[in-house]
Amino acid sequence: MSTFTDIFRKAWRPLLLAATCAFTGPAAAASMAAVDGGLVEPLFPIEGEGATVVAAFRIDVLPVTNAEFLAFVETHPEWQRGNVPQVFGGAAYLRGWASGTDLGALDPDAPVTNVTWFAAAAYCEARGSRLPTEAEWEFVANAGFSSELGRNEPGYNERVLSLTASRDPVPGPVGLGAANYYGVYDMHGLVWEWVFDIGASFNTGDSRSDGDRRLQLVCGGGSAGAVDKSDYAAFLRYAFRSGLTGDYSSGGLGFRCAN
Amino acid sequence: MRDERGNVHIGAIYGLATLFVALAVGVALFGSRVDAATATEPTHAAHGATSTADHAHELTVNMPTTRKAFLDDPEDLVAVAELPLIKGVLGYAPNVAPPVDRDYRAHVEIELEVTEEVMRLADGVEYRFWTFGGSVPGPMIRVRQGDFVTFTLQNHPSSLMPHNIDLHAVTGQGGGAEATLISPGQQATFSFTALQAGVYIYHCATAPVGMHIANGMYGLIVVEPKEGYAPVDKEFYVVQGDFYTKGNFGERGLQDFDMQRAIDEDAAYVVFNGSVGSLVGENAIFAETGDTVRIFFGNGGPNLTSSFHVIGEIFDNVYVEAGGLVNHDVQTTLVPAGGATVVEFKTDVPGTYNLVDHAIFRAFNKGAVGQLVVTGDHDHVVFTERTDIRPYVPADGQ
Repeated sequence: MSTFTDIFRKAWRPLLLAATCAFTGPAAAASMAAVDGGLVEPLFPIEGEGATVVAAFRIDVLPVTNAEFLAFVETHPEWQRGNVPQVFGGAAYLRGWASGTDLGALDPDAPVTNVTWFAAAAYCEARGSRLPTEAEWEFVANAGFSSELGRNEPGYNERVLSLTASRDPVPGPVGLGAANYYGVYDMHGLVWEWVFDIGASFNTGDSRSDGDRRLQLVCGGGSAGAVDKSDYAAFLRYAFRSGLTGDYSSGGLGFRCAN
Repeated sequence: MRDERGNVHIGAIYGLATLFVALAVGVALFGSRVDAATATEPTHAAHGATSTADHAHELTVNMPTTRKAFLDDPEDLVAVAELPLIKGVLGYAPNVAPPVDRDYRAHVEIELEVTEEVMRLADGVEYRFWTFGGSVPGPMIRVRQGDFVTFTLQNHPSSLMPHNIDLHAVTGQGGGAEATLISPGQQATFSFTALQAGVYIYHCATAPVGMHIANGMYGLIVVEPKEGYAPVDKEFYVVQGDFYTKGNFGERGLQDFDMQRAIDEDAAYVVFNGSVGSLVGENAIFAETGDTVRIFFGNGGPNLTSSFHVIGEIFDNVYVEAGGLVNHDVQTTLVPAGGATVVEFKTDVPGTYNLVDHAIFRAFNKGAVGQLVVTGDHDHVVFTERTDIRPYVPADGQ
């Protein structure tokens, strides 16, 4: 069975090549970290299904900020609040902005939130990049602060759980926390982040198991099949993603780009 | 069966009676729900034959035979569309939701909002609670057996986490867990019929479930039997929960959830109604002498079983595990995590009665204490207070 990542990589390869040649857009200067790639174990492994192979990729060092998103909508007015059809903007698109091109009281350096998957994907596309896949995002999120795999660092799971569960409902400026092994900031302590393939871990193509996996996140079964039962932050992330649809947005959900 | 003199052997009578009783109890226990209501008759027929049958009669009194099952009555066949629509009234602990004041089924609408907020866990100690209705425990929901309940769960936009609800009173997938999974800023609705009477825990069931419960996401839904609970003078709503903080008991400041401590079941706090002192001093609950008191007592857990006891009282009635079996004259009753009970007693003597988890270090070192203050006339036959105190010198003079 070809994994989603394989299909995805094939689909995007032409665009990635193009991106390296013509990198344009509002945040062309965005700093990205190079990640060699490797294996991402599924949260709920199913027999006969191995780890997802993640090829080398690059990912934004910081989440996309309000200021960066403002620059984007100024050059792409179709993504300004009021111009976006409900089907792409959802109910709460850019809630808190004073107008289509005015951040109002929002901190320009805070991550942009209240953006739908469609808006996030359009932003990254305009920049010549894309949203990271769930596997890519998790690969970076699993990195420690000083080593490739966080769970090998003493107290890592506890630290990440605390960052995830104890954060402020209104996110502050990006980049204030500690960078991880790849030099990437704010994977845990600031906002949830969109991934390209939301809910990928629940769509295996084997419909018999899809429902069961989802139920493991919403019912008493809990961690019955999970590899690392103490990685509570991962449970929180997967549970959050399991409830998402593309037109959803909230004040605690932002994104960053990859390519 | 008869001996050579034609007398029936006493053992044969006992044997027959025992057989009758066993059959009757067997039908009551294992027969279909509809059959169970009629199964009392053969048991009553056996009554009076022997003392063994008397014993069986006692057993049937305590069995849920007085309770009617759903679909027992013509009212149960009324279509949902024809049921009167009622907005459910919630009860915030220690206050109960108002008793059901009707003898017919209804379509009850319930709305419950999920919030995440920093609140007091103890003096000087704050905790980031995840709540149903902004309180721990979540508000009491109260319906009548057979009611059709349309339930809407709302996740406040300021929440960070997705949430849902598993109501133990619901027969169906996850108790509503999958139907109600919602991200911040969403609401979801589903409906169910309250098939069985009892007092049930509800709780959040989003991964990691233990963490959602440990952060305070539980409460009680009371499904009153069709005939209702007997009227009493005072009703209260108390739910026990255990909390796992980075700091030890009493360590000041905003305390984070401690995952390892939760896994080790090493509670820093064991409290009634969400915080140390929630039922103490000016927050105590009150009654007068002669009052009949009913406490709906739940245990949200996530880990610990409660040994619920009221110091200086004896429970007249305990609805064992909040079901149809009623026990009498009970000192301490076990309430499992994710379970509940109903206790009833009459107050005879004024004083302060401490509600405790009689796993007693939890009471005196972790917070599991509440107070029922009873005022009124003294009954010096039931209790004299101290009548004498003097030095005690043993007979040997040492």
